[in-house]
Amino acid sequence: MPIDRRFFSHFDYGLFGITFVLFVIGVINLYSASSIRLEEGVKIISFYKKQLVWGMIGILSFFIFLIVDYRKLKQATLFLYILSVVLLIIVLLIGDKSGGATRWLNFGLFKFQPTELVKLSIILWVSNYLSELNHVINIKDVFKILVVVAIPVILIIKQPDLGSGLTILLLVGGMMLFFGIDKKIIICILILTPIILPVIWNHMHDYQKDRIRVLLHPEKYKTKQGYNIIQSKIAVGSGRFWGKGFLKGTQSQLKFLPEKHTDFIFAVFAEEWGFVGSVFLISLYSLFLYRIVKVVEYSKDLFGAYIAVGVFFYFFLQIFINICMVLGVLPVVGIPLPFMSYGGSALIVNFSLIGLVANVSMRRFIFKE
Amino acid sequence: MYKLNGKYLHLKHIKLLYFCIFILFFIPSLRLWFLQILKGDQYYYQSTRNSIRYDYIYAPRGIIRDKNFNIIADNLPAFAIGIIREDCKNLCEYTVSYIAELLNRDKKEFLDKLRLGKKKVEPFKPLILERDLTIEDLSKIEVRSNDLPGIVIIPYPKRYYPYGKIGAHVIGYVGEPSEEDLKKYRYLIFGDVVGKTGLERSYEEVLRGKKGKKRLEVNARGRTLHEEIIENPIIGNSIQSTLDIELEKFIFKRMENQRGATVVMNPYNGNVLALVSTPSYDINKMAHGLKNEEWIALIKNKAHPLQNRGISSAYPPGSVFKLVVGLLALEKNVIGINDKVYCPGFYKLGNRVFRCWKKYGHGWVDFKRAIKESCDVYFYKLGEQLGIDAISEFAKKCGFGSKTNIFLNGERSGLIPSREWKYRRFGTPWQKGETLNTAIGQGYVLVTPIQVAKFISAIVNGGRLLRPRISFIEPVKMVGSLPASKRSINTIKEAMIETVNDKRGTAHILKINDIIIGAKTGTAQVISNWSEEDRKKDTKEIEYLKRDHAWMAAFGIKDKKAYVVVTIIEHGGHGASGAGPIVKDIFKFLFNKQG
Repeated sequence: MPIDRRFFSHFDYGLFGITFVLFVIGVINLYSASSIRLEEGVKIISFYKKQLVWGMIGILSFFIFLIVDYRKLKQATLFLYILSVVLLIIVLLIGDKSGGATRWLNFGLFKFQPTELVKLSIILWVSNYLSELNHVINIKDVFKILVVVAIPVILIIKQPDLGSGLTILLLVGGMMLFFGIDKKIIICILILTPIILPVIWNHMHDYQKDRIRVLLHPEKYKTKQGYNIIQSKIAVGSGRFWGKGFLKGTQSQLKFLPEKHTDFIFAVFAEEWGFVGSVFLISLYSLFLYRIVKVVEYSKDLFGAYIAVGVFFYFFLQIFINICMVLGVLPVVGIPLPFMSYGGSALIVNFSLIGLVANVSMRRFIFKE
Repeated sequence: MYKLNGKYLHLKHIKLLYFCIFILFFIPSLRLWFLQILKGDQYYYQSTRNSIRYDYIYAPRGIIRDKNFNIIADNLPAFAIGIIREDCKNLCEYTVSYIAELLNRDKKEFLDKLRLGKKKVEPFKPLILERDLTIEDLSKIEVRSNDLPGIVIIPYPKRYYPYGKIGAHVIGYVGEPSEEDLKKYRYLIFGDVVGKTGLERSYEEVLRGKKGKKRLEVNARGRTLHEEIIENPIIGNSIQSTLDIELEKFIFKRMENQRGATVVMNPYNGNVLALVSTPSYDINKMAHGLKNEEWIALIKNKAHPLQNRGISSAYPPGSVFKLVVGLLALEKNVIGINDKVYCPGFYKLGNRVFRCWKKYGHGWVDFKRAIKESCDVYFYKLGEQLGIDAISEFAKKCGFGSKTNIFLNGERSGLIPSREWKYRRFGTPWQKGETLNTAIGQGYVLVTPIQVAKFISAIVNGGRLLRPRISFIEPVKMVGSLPASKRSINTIKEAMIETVNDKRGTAHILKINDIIIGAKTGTAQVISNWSEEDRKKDTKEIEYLKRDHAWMAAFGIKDKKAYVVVTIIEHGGHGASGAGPIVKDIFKFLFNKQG
C-alpha cells in the first residue's frame, strides 16, 4: 500500500486534534478522580497511568485504521460480524466475571471486551447494507436489519450490559433515520410505542425499574438507588460557576461520588471546573461531532458517508446519554463518556473509529467528481 | 452518487445530525446552568454538609463538695459506644446485632435502642448504644473498628459518687433526660445526662457546663480525616454543700437497719449538716442506668428507699407538738408558768375520756413538768382552753403546714388541720375532741422532720425562722420569726433542757456531761385506737407495722457550737427508747469531733 504524500496534506488534522485534546483532558481529569483523601493526605491511584498506556495503543490503532483503505473493509463486513457474534457467545460461556457481569475475554496479558468489536462490525455492516440500497428503507429492510442487529444485541444485554445494547440499537436507528425510512413505518412505530413500552417495562429487571423510578423521585431513595444520582447532582451543582479547582473536589475525593472513574467521570470534572469548564467540554464535544458531520458532508462515496454517520451516532448517543445521566436528566445506564471514562477497550475502539472517519475524510480526494 | 435537485441524496437528512449537535449542546448546558448557577449555592452547602460535620465535646459537670471540701460527686473518664446511622447505610441493624454479639449483650435491647433513637437523634450524630464500657469491651470494638462502619467510641465524663448510698437523697443522681426534662432544659440533647433528684437536680443549671463543638471532615464511610475544635467545652461550676459527709456517714451507719430520718441543722444559719433517710440506695447504680428489674424492685420495695424521709414524709408529731401548744399557751397567758393542773391519768370532755400516756396520772403538774414528763392531761386542758383556731393559726406561723423551701425537690408541706380544712375534706364540722388530740400532736396533724428542725432552731436562736440551707450558694435567709416573746421562747428552751437533765424527764437518756442538751420526745401513733390489751403489750411484741413512730427533737450547745438534731424512727416505739440512743450518739460524734 503506497503512502502517498497527499495523505499528509489531506489528513484531517482538526478531527485528530480535537480527539487528542479530549483524550488529554480525560487523562488529567482521571488523575484528579484517582486521588483519595486519607488521614495522611492525598493519595493517587494509578488509574490515569493505565489510561495513558491504553491511549497510546489507541492512537496506534487510529493510524492502523487510517492507513488501510476503508473500502477494503466492505468485503470484510460479514466476516467481522460473524466473528464478533462468535466472540460474544464465547464470552457468555467462559468470560471473566466482574461486578456481576460477564463481559471480558481474558487473554492473559490483557482483557478484551467483544462488545466493542460488535459496535465496529455493526456500523460497518449497516453502512454496507445502506450503501447498496437504492430505495427508501421499507418494512422488509427493517426486518433484515433488525434480525442482524438483534442477535448480538440480545447477547450483549444478557451479559448484562444494557448500556451497550441500547447504544447499538439507537445508533442503528439513527443511521436508518438518516438514510430515510418509509413514512408508513415511522407512523407504525409511533402507534406501536405506547403498546410496546409497558411490555418492555414488565420485562425489565427490578434494579433497572428502580433506576427509572429514582430519576422521577430521587429524594424518596436517599440511601439506596437514589444515592448515586443525588451525590452526582451535589457534585456537579457544588462546582458552581468557576468550580472548586483541580484536585479540590470533595465529593470525589471523599468517596461520596460513586463510579467516579467510569460512568460518573463527568461529575468529577464539573465539580472541579464548574460551569465554565463543563460548558467548554460540551462545546469541545460539539465541535468534535461537527468535524464528523463535515466528513459526512464532503465524503464522496456512500459506504464512507454511512460509516461516518454511524460513528457520529455512536459518539453522540454515548456523550448525550452519559452527560444527561450524570446531570439527572436520564436514568442511570452503564454508558461511559468517550475519552473521559476509564476503560481500555472503549478507548481503543474510540480511537479506531475516529481513525476510520479520518480515513474516509482523507480518501475523499481519490474520487473524481 | 444520486443527486436530487442539485443535492446529494444521502445528504437529504444532514439536518438531523446538526439537530443532534444542537441538543447535545443545548440540553446539558441548560441543565448545568440550573444545577451550578441557579441552585449552585444550595448544592455547595450540601457538599460541605456531606463531608463537614459538627460534633459535641462533652463538658464535665461541676463537682459537688461537702462543707469540709470532701468530694461527694465527681467525674471519671469513661467511654460510650454509639452508631452514626448515615454511615452504616442499610446495615445498621446488622451492625448493631454484631456489636451485641461481640459484647455478649441482649440483641433485642440494642435493636430497641436503635429504633427508639431513630426519631430523637439528629442525622450524623451518634446514637448511644451503651455507656461506661469496660476496657475489655472497648478493645474488642477498637480492633474491629475498620469492619464496623458507623460505629464510634465517644469519650465522656462519667458521674461518680464516692460515698454510694451515703447522702444519696441529698446529692441525688444524674440520668438520661425524660421528655419532660428535654422540654424544661432546652440545651439538652438525646444522650446527655441531666440531674434527676437532689442537689444534682436543684443545681442542674449551675453544675452543667457548656458543650464544646468540633468540626470534622469525614469521607463517605464516615471516617474522620481531620478534626478541629471550634468551641472549647466549659466545665460546669462546682458547688459546696452544707452537708458534712462524715457526719452523714456516721448517722447512716447508725440508722441503716431502721426506717427513718435524721436532720442535723445549725440553728444560727439554717445550714443542714446532715439529712439522712433510711433505707437508702446506691446513686452510682442509678446514674449508670439500672436494669429494668432492678428499677422495678426499687420502686416496689415496701420500705420505699427512694423516699427522702427528711423532707418528703409527713408524720404525726406526737408530743413534740406540745412545744408549739405550750409556747402558744405562754404567749396567750392562758396558764401561769407555775399554775398546776391535776393529772389523774385521764381527762374528761363531756362523755368522752381522754387518756394520759401515764395510766395512773402525774398528779399535780406545772408547765415545765408537763413538758418534761410530757403530761397529756395538762395539754388536753390547754387545748380546750386555746381552741383549734388559735392552735392552727399559731402552728402555721411557726412554719408548720407549709414547705420550708429547702432547695431540694420532693418536699411535702405536712398538714395543720383547721375547721375549714375539715369541712372541705370530710364535710363534717370540727369536734372538740379533735382539738384535744391536736394539742398532743395526734389526729390530723402531720409534720416533716425538716419542719421540726426549723422550729427547734428557732427555739434555740431566739425566735428566728430560717430557711434550711443545703449549699453555700444560697444566702442565709430568715423567712419569719416565732410569734412569741423571747421570754416565752426561753421558757420552752429551759423546759427542754430540763427534760434531759431531770431524772424523770422523758429525754434523760440524752444527758451528756459538759454539754447543754435540750430535747422533746414524741410518739406518733400509727393507729390511734389501740385496744387496752394492745397497750399492755411490750412494743416489740406488737406487729412491726402497727408500732408507733419514735420522735426525738433535740439541740445541743457547747461553747459556741450549737446543733439541732431531729430524728424519727418509723415504728420505733417510744421516742426515748426508739430514737434516743441514736441522737445521743450523734451528739457525742458532733461534739467529740468538732469541739
